[in-house]
Amino acid sequence: MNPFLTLLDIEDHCKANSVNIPRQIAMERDWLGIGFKSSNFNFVCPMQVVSEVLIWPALTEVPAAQSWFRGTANLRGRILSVTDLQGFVSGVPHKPLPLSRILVVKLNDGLSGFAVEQVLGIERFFGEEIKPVASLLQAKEYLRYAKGAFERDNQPWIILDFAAIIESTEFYHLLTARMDVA
Amino acid sequence: MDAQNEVLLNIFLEEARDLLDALALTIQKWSTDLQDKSIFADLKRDLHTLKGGARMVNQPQLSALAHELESFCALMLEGNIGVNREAYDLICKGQDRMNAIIEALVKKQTVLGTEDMIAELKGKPVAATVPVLSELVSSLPLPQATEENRYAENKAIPKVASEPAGNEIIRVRADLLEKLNNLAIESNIIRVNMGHFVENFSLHITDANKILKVLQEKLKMVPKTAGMQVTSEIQGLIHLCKQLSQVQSNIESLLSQQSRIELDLQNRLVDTRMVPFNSVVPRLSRIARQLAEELNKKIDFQILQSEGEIDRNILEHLVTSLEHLLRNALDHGIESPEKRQLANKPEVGKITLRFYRMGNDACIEIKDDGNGIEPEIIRRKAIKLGFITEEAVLSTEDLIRYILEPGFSTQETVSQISGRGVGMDVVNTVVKGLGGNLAIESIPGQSTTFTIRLPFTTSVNRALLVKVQGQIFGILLSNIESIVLFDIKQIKENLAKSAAVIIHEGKEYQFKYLGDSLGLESKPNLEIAKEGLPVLLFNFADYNVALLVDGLAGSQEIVVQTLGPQFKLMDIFSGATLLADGRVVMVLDACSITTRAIKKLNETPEVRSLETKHPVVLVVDDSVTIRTVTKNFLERHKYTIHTARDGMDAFEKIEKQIPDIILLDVEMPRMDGFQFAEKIRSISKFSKIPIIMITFCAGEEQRAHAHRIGIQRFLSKPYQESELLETIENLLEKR
Repeated sequence: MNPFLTLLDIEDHCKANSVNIPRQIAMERDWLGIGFKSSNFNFVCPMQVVSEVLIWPALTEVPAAQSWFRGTANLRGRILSVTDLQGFVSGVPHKPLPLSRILVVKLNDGLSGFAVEQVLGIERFFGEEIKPVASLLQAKEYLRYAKGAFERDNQPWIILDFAAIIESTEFYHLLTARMDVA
Repeated sequence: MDAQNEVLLNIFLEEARDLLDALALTIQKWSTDLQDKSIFADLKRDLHTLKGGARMVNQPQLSALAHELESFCALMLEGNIGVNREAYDLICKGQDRMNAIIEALVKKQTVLGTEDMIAELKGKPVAATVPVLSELVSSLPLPQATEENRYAENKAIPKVASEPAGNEIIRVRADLLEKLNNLAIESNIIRVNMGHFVENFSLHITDANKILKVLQEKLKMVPKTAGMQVTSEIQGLIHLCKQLSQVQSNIESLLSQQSRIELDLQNRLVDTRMVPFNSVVPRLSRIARQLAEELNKKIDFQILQSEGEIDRNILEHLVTSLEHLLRNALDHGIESPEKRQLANKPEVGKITLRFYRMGNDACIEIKDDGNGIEPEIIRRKAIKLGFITEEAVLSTEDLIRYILEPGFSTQETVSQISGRGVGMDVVNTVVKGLGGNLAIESIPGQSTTFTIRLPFTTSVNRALLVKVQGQIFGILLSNIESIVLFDIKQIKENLAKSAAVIIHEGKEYQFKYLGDSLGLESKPNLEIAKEGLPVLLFNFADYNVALLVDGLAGSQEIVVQTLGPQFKLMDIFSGATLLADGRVVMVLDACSITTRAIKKLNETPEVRSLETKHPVVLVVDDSVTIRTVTKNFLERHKYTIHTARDGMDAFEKIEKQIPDIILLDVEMPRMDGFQFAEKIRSISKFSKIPIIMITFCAGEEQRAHAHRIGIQRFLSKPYQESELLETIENLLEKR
């Protein structure tokens, strides 16, 4: 007698005699993130990506760097580089305003600062679908770094992928072309 | 395997690795003098420990092998087995097998058996006399197990501890140390701030005292009765001020003590990052042995000198480079035993490694007695790859340095081990990235020596703070040769020239304003600098540079922090540091800014040649190799070349200077070839520039699209150089 068939037999018997477990309600995802504004649009990124939010610190300018690179700051003894998010993505520099903040992004064991227009606080998207971004994104330059979007009260909230920014080739081309020694 | 056994196994594996490392070092020591019997005690001890551990975690094969090796060592010590090359090789084999077993256990793979090795070890004849084979061995008669020897053995044992007593070693997580370092720095900053407050405090007390004095004077003019009421209060206040002053001075002295302690703390924390250079030896020895076997070559890998410590981070970066140099020596350097014999060389090739300090630098030297580097072969290859022309006359040193170019490899068949041509240039880049340089020396037919020279700087260093356009930058003092004050007249004269050269103490320096090397537009403000401005003199191997700055801001001890990966390409900065007041100051890389100073100088003549008949070609490609090779090839045919990394970069370049023709790659980041072509065609001043598009796949669709945009020619990779030349000539004629 084939032992495997015996096992299958036993399985069938068990299934026939088992009591059904009550249908479990699928747990809806609770998405938590930090909301912020850039290029006048609403963005959001996962909570664990941002380790803190800073009020505009004293920045040391770095010569020979691209215009979207704001400089370096002292974060409790550690050097933090600050990039102007809007300037980097869209080429339009962002002027520091009273509401401007720096998001300290912690990825790959490193810290990077991103200057944004305004931090809107912790945003919670409970049980909402992540929609494809193309339809909702109005600022096309952000498309490369967008990982999806939520829609709430007819307002799009684009999920920004900081990892994509930090790993992009442009991010590494910090030295202005003018300084290139060919 | 249940959890507890798993834990036990992991502990054993860690210990085993340490033991095997120690064994490797001892064996290495043994190889320098095969007759040195003192090492056997160490070997036996470690093997014994390994055996015990293996038994405990139920690894009988490993334990049996360790036991057999231990017995083998005992027999050698007693003189019952001859101490010779064969024995050495056998021990090495045993060691390799044990390593393999440990690695297999770590990776949870199947473990090899050891019966064959044990049989080999057992089979070694117990002979009274065995002839000496290795030329390293002295011609002493083999010792018998006499009373004298037993005494010798006992004497050998105290040599066991090579580290000074009382220096326990503890494992600490690297990130914890990093954190400690940061805390020390923060603490420093807070103390400095406290110092400022304390200073303030003292000023307030002085003010209070002044006010009290004034009050006392005014009291004298007031009728006595009224005055008496407040006199004692005022006296009280004066006394209080004295006490406060005392408190303040106490705090100051405490702060000063704290400052000394903090500096000590920081220095010691930095010391924790130092590891003994020795630690790479086991790995390198193993690689040498394995490779030699694979390549059927006989080699002797000797560590001539390896004492000393090196910063852990630096060593991490260097290890793969050292491995590559070793592979290189084995693969390309050392010849096969037959070839060596033909050349009247000893059959066993010799590769030596030396680590030593020279002044402020740490040097690592790898030397092999192989066939050396043949300049003619390099020359031919360099010509073939377009790096130099047939007519070029180069010294042997300059010629040899071409092997550091990417894409260079003179091994006819690219062996799996090395010779892919990506190795040497990477080693050079790594060494340069660490602020050092790689020197190559070779005697064809006899030897090749690679010397890596690194600045032996720990992160704490003295830096000069300089002012440029209102900003402060740091430069490590060790890089600066000297600082000279130039008067305004001299400065004006030199700034006016495009390629100024100054002479100082008989040496020539190329003169440049530091602001230019940093890409800053403005010029130094000569009006306010009445006494003159400081000029920093730099002296490097092949060039001397004098950099003008706007002022100095003192010098101080700094801790250079490395910047994130974003700064990888920003070679002008070696890091950043924090001043006492918390400000971030960028630290300049002396080598990089001086190189830029010269390069810019050399660029200006090229711009002038526009007026002569050299047509300007703009090469746009994201591959550095392709840009370099194309540039070199075209320059030989008397074209002036500009290069760009991608569409956007190319756009910036043509805005500055319109080329006569553009060579355009298609697949590039940021802006690809088509986007770029469309963009410039839409701008009238650029619309007439002929474009040759170069791409891998030139399908009909692509060609049609290109034609529509206005791209004149299409070449597919790989293209014949003659084809490219013809096409360029063709298009230029048509204009």
